[in-house]
Amino acid sequence: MQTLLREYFCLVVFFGISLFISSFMVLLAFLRAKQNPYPEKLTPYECGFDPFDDMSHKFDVRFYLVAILFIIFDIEVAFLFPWAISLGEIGVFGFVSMMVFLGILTVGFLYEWKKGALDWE
Amino acid sequence: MKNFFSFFYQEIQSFCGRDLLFFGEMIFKILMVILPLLLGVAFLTLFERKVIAAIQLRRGPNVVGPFGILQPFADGLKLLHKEIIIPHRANKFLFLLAPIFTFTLALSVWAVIPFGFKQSISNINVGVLYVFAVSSLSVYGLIIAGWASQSRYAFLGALRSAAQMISYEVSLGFVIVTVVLCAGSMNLQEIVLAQQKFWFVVPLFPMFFIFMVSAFAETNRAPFDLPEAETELVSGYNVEYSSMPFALFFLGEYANMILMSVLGTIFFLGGWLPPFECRPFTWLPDGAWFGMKVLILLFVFVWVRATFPRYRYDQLMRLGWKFFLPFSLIWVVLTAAFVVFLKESGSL
Amino acid sequence: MVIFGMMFYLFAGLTLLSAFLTLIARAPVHSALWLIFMFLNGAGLFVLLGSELLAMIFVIVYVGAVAVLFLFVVMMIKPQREVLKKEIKWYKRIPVLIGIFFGSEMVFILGGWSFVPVASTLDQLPSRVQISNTTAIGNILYTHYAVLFEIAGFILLGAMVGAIVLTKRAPKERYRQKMSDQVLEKKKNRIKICHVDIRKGV
Repeated sequence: MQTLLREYFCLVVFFGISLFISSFMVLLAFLRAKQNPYPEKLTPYECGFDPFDDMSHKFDVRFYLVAILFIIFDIEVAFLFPWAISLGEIGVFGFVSMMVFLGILTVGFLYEWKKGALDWE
Repeated sequence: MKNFFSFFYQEIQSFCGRDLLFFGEMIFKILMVILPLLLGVAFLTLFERKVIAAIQLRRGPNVVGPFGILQPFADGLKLLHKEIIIPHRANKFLFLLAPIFTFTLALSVWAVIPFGFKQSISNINVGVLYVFAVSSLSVYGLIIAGWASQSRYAFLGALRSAAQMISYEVSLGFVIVTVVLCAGSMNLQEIVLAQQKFWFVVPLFPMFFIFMVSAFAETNRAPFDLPEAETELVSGYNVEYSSMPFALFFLGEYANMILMSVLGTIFFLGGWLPPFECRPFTWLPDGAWFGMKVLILLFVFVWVRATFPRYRYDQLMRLGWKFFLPFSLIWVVLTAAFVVFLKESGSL
Repeated sequence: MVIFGMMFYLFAGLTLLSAFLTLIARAPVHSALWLIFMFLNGAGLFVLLGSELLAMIFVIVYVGAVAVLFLFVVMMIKPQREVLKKEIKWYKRIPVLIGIFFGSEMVFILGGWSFVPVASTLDQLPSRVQISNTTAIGNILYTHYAVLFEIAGFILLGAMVGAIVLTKRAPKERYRQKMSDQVLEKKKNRIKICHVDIRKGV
């Protein structure tokens, strides 16, 4: 337990140092570079004229669909990891129970494929 | 008060095992990883330009320093002295947070990478999952950047690259599962040590291929560099960025490229192990083998960029969801069946 | 272990703080970002408990996948104020009901809760036997709890089908690239070599 937490403590310190380095780099640029903003310079990039309206517009529903399908497959991967570790211990029974699980999800995957949810035209 | 400090010191002592020196040593070790990494990222940009120039029969950067070797530093200094432009409608805090976050994540994965036998900053049991988790976090840098700059090109670019990254993360996950199945551990050290008999690239070659292609897609590199498709999206999520925040995105991308090569080396090419455990090969130190393999994979990254045309978005999604996903899932099943078969027949 | 105790209070405090900020943040995107920060702190708490697997899965699934969907939705849907104002009056009652429900549940739980007598002698971790947290979970999840595991599979299947049904678009004629047709195309079907006499044309 102690050694485990010590390893994670190193991780936290590493994260802290890298956070420090990257924010330091931005800070350095703020200190060194000459800032000379004026309204025309600060407009969002769009072909030389002001953007017509707010950018949060209608977007294709497929982006949501991809995100949802990603969640499901990500959970599947998350279930696979501990299984991969202890496959030697749990043997054939564990293997079969995972195959049933994957089979259920494969049904969903085939349904998806048939319905054309994976197509981007 | 003094009592409190002495108590605190004792606690730190007991925590560190021996001494406060532990802290100093730890920070020194961490810097010894991060600083060479930053240098490596800088020289990788030069390496890429030189290799692409050679492929296109040009000479590449050759003015700054001998053979243009100081070019990355010149670029860095130039970027450092550029003005930081924050669009007036942008959310200032998030706008600046996004590049910092991206680069911090790109650096902090390196805490678990073993460079040689017992040479990693933090040797955790679930190193593979840590790497996977941090790489799944890196989507946020893009999304926040695209949203915070309140620009349509940036937002569309961010959306596209986010969808692309999450699509390929699934097959990347399955590929990693096959490796974990073969190694029987999620500790990166043990994965390398499990390859002493043969490298995993031998039994899992198709997985290695899928890993590399998914790595191109994860790092938004050619031929999957749609987010920065300069002909339509004018460089995607980072259009509005300038100066050091832009540089951080750029460096983060290159650091991730090195990371993917390192992961490919650890998962499939036997990490720091020499190809054969016999005399002439064991003369070179561990680090040299490690570096050599990583360099070869980095060369592949650059080579692919110089060679292949860009994919179209529907082709990209189809490749990820309809080919890589089922194929890698089938390989997971086959590998698992093989492992169980070996275990049951008692030959492992 | 003062340091780990301090770490616990740091993570726990930040979890509570960011949960609070999730509730009061005005912009939905800020809310979602605070929620993500809360998940990360929760993962830190899991690490302190010694369950590394859960911490990492927490980050991968909740932060890396679920919160991405939240952000997508929150960023892309432009709230239409007039419509919202009408509907929000009705919707306002639901959180109140849920709040009352969970609040009373908490009262019941905290009121009737006590330690099992042997709890203090137990160790949360299987650290005494030389086995890692991940292996310990893997050894029972797919055998002892196999039925629950398969039920989880069915829930995921339901989610998948539901998502597709909800986002179904009208089937229309799409221009789709048929790669097999492209690859299988023969030269003779496409190219005709003909001799063209001068001043006669084809």
